[in-house]
Amino acid sequence: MKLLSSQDEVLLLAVIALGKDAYGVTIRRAVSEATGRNWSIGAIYDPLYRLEKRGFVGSSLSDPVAERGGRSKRIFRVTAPGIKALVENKRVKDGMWRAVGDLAAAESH
Amino acid sequence: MNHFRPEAASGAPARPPRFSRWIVCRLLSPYMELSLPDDLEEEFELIRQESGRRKARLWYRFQAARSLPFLIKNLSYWSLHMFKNYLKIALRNIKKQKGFSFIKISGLSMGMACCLLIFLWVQDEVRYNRFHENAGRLYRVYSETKYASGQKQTMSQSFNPLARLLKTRCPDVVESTRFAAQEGMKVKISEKSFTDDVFGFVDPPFFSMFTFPLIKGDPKRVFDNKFSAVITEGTSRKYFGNHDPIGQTLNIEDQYDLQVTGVIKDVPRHSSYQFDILVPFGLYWGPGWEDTDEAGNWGGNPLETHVLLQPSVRPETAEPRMTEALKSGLPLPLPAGMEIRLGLQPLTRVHLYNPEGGGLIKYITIFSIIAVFILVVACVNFVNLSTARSGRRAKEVGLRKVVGAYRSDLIKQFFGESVLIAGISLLFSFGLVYLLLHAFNKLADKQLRLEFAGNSGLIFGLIGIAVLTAALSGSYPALVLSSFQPVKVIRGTVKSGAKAAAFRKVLVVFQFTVSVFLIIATLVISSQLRFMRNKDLGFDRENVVCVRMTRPQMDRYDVLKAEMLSNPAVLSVTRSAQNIFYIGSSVSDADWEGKTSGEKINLNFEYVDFDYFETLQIAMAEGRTFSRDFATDPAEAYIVNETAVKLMGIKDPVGKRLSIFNNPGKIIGVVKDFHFLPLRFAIAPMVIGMNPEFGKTNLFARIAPGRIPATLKYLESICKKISPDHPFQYYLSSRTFRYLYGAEMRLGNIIGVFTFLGILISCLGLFGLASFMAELRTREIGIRKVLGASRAKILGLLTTEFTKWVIAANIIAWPLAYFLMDKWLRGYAYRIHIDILILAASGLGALAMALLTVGYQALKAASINPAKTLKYE
Repeated sequence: MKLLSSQDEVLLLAVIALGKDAYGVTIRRAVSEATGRNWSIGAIYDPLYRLEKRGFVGSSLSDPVAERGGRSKRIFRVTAPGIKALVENKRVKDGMWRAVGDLAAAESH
Repeated sequence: MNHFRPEAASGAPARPPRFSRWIVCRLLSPYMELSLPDDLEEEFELIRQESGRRKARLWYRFQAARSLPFLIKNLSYWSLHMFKNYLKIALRNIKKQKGFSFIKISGLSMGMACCLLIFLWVQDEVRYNRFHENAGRLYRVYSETKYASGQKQTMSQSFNPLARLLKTRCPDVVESTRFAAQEGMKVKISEKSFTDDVFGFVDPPFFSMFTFPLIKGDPKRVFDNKFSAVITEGTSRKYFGNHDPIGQTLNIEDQYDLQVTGVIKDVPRHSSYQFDILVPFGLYWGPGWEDTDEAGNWGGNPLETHVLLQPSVRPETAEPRMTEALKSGLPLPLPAGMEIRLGLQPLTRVHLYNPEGGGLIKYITIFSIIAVFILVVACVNFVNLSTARSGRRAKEVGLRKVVGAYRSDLIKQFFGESVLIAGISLLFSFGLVYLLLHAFNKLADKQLRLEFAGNSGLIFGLIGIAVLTAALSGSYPALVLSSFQPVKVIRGTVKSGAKAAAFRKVLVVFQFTVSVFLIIATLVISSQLRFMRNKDLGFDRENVVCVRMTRPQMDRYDVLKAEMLSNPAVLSVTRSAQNIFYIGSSVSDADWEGKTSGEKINLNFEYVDFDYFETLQIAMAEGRTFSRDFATDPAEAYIVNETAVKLMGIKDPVGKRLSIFNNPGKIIGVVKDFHFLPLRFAIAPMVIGMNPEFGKTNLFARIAPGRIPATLKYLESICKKISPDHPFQYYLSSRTFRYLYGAEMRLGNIIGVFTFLGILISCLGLFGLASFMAELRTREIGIRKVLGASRAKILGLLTTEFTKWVIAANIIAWPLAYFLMDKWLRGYAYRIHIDILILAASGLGALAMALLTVGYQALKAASINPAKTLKYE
């Protein structure tokens, strides 16, 4: 199967972590905080759109929210194939990490 | 309270920057995510609360800007996607409607080919003389003379002393040179001799004024010796092969030797002045004649004067000063009532404009206009067939609109289709031009080539033609097609609009107006040509051969004449100074018995030998012709024509005194008016003398009827006996006709081709339109047939409308053509009258063509078994 890009991986993880509160603003903040660099909205929506097309992410509109002037948010969630892809991704990577040993330890020598 | 942040104080919600917000809402979100603007706004609000309004706005702007690359990528992705779709649909449509596409593309190809050919031609013509570095400062001097009689004459031929006079007396003139060309002189190099090179006679400044660069030799010193010559590279190769030509000797006419002192590059094709050998101007008068240009010879001469002006001087300011210089330099004051003015014609205009008006530019303009009209006629086909068939594409339009296409998208799509078809047609027209260029070159007497290298103008021209075509043909159908309303389309109530149908009629009428006009123009031009060919000129031109004599032949004319006459087929021989078809020299100082003082008449004059009137069979009105029985005839006998008698107002002219050029004599006869000028000109007053001193280069031999081809060989052998190295130059009336009326013949031929194309394209369009109309009315025809209509009735039904259109076109075209062609004919003193028959024939011709085209479709429609067309109900 096709591996996820690390960008996709980070986004999927962020959406899972945010749970029911995963929409544009929060996802962008979470990802920016975790990676230490300021992601643009375009950099969030574009891969999310592609993930949605691949069926790894689903979205729905929330009820209208007062602080948004009565407009709704688009809440994202990770689908079962998405979870499966994440797990598979992690399995492959973990396996490879084990094969090269403890890099961090090796570098400190 | 903070006065500087009123919105914060009042608690009103702060807005993100307007422009960035517009980018996000209008441009970004449709492609990305509809909730994107809201998300951004929420965060904007958060930041505003945390770090203030300014930071928030900055952040918002930054976000919008950072997302732009994505937008660009996405936009191009989508437009590429749609473009692929449009292209697919367009190609499918072309394939599905093969007949219609063929009509559209073939018509446009032909129209574009016309434009392309004319473009190449115009481009070639305007390029003349532009290669000179000083092109902007070089002028040809012409003179405008007004005689006391009110007659005006504009001449580009100039006076011999003028060039030097202008340079010495007019400070605006930096340099000046005379120029004259002559061909047919014999050049001998050791044993070989050549007679086909053109001699250019120039003054030394020629080399610094014009850009004819010397490869060998010093431009300032090549003409230090009077007997020197500068030859072109090609001539050098021809004469000397690979040997160095400098210092070699050329023998001219067995009379004198010239030394080669320089070699110039070959003369570019785009030069009005063509020559192979340049020699000092003094030789123009012959080797022995001193070049006394200061002193005299102020008569009109077959030479031109060119000047190089100071860089800052405008020709308008130089002209009056030059005229002053001329007047102060004339040896005698001008006769009373005569005025002369010098004018400057830019060298770059010499090729296209005659100083007296007209010139090649007239034909360039006419052809360009017609070519564009042909293209427009072809575009009409495109418009008509596209809008006629619009019903077929209504569903596509409706669907696209339902799915979300804006009208602008559809306009783009349909316009794109016409661009595609224009592009395909452009390729075909390219092929057409490539195939036809040779024939066109022959027709227009040109050497055009279809080359992109070094011709950036051609690329712009092509783009121009393609854009013009696409715009003319694509814009209206795009508007019509994109206007369908989806609701109506889907309900099935759409009808191809009445407006578009009316517009189609107008366009077809326009097409046929152009066609009828062109037919009339072709007929008028060819009738006028036929008229000029058959017109009785007052002398016998069919059985006379004109031979151009060389200098040795002129010297031994009596021998030549006797030998020719020894052949029984040669009936009579004479000679004259000018060719009888064009006797252009004129004299204004004639004096005659009974002349009132101050009266001035410009008389054309000619010097001839005995037997002139007999050989050419020119009838006399009164008196006698020149005769050997009168010893005084060569010196003092004059014959005038009837027009001269009338203008001079002499009663009983025979025996009256007359003198020209201060040579007194007597009128011995009056000749009936004959046409000694092209038929553009009215018969001018004329005097004919003998003047034995005057060189007469034209020999006329009258040959027994029907024996010219057989006798020519004999004449040639006799001429070769005297001048074995010179080619035998002779003119028959057919060749002279071609020479005199070449421009008209070319005009007729090219307009004829245009006419053919115009009719072909119009009929193709009509064919398509008729097939569409027949198809539209299939069921109506079926029902009519079932109810008992005859085939003839149905034919009539289908053709009446088209007939009406063509008749309407005739009504428009007739007065238009009459007006314009009458204007053209007015340029001829002797002309045909535009007969109603010509108009009627053109109209009927166009009608017949249209009916044949429509008739085929109508017959097909009328012959279908109605059971077939009605059965599916």
